Amino acid sequence: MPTGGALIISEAVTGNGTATIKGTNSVLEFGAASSQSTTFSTGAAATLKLDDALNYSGSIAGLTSNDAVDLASFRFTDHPVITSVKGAGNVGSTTDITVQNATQSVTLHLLNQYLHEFMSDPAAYTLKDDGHHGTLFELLP
Amino acid sequence: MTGGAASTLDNVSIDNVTHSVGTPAGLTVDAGSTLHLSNSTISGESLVNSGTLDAVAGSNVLNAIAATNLGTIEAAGGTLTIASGTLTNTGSLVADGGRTHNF
Repeated sequence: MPTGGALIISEAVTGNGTATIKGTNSVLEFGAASSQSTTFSTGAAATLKLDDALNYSGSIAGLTSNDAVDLASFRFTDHPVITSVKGAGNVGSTTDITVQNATQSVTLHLLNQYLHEFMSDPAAYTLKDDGHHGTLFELLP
Repeated sequence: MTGGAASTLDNVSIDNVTHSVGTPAGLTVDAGSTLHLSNSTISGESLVNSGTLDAVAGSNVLNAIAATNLGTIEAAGGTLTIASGTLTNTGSLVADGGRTHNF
């Protein structure tokens, strides 16, 4: 039974490369700024952890309700909320979801690989405690 | 492994090893080659990966490294931490929890 691989990058990543998360219980962690676009592979049940979510500008593709984006710098006790969901859901476009608390705001760019992959209804998404003071962003099943 | 000269590793596994140098040297993984890491640390040098750098088990660290990735850096079954250095990635970064290791 394979266990998840964890790739933890503490420093800023530059360049126009890509990132992929595969399998079960895998974690890709960006500890600082990154513009790397990240793809969750089909069948993944994994986590993209953003320690500096405010400075993550890459798109996120393939996210399903089995996956999570951990906004580690957003304390869940600060009551973050989803304040905006924008995008027409066209193939190749992003659905842009803004999460805010009293002092921070981040917009996640979810890449639609098929029509309306990511809903424009905020009720399609949820925020929860990551168990380490941060906030998990997830799609509802 | 010790020393200050540049190292080129092709299809090599590093297990339970700390590889460090006092002055920056070079570690190169060529295109088409794979460097497997298992419970290992590489520190204090430059790394150019044009092939695959694959952490397959245990805790692995690239520490204080100036890393350029043109190929694939992958953690599959282990943990790979790239700490206190720089990473320029024009290739692929992969966290993979679903792979069976055959090597």
